[in-house]
Amino acid sequence: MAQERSISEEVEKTLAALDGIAPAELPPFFYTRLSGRLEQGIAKAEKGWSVLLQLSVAACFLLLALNGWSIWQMDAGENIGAQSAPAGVEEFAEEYGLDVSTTYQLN
Amino acid sequence: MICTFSAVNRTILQESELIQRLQSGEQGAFRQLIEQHQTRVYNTCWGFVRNPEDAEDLAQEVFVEVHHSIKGFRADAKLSSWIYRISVTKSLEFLRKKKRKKRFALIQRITGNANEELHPIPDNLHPGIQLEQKERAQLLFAAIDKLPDNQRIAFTMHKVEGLPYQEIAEIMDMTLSSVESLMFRAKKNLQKLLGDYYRNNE
Repeated sequence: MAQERSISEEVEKTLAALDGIAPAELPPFFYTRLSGRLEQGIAKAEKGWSVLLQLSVAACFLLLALNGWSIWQMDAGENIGAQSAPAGVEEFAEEYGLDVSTTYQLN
Repeated sequence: MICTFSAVNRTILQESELIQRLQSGEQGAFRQLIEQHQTRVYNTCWGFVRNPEDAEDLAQEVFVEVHHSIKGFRADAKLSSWIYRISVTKSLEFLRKKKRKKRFALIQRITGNANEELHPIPDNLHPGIQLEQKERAQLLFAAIDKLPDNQRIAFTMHKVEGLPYQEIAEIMDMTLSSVESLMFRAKKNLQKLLGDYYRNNE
């Protein structure tokens, strides 16, 4: 019983250990360090935006260049196709024995 | 009574003016805000992390967050409550990260956390604690760490920062009776934890 009472007294004393605690002093130059951190953050964010802008402009140019190149390729392909298509068909027909013009000639 | 009422009104007016200046990006207003709240923000963080470097780092993070989010602040809560709520959230996030890191430690994995015995915290102790209370305070902090989050927040704010229940209720966005109930349960749990400790270490 006495032991329990002593434990309960100890508990109460420990619970009161933080009573009347004085506030901790802030380290000196807190504002200076905080301003530095804020400026760093703003500079980082601005740099991030400028890199993003540069990347978007570069991506636009790349897309335009790819578009131009593919249009040029299509034009060139059409020209080549127009010139060589008959020859190509004849060659193909010859190779597969399709030079027969009607089905009657098969017999 | 009239005098108190007009003083409260003046405070509200000053605060709304400060919010407007902050929202328009005025640097002087931000400095004023820091000067008004830095000690309490630092002490709030200190109450949870109990380490001067981490507390300062967290206090800085709190003000960076305030700086970024002030434009979206709606004056439906007191500015100070909002700032302390950010402080508590940041501190708890920090502690959770620290706990996650600890979980990877082999010993923690083997012994688990739930039935772990109470050990006085060897961290730097709050500088405001009297020397003769140091040992008891270490033990009490170790017991506080075992409390569920809400009880820990309420108890720390009341005991370490000396905030009244009403202000804790505003910060935690709870009713006054909920805070009273949290404090009652926190005390009961602490009595049990400390009692067990003294019984085992006699």
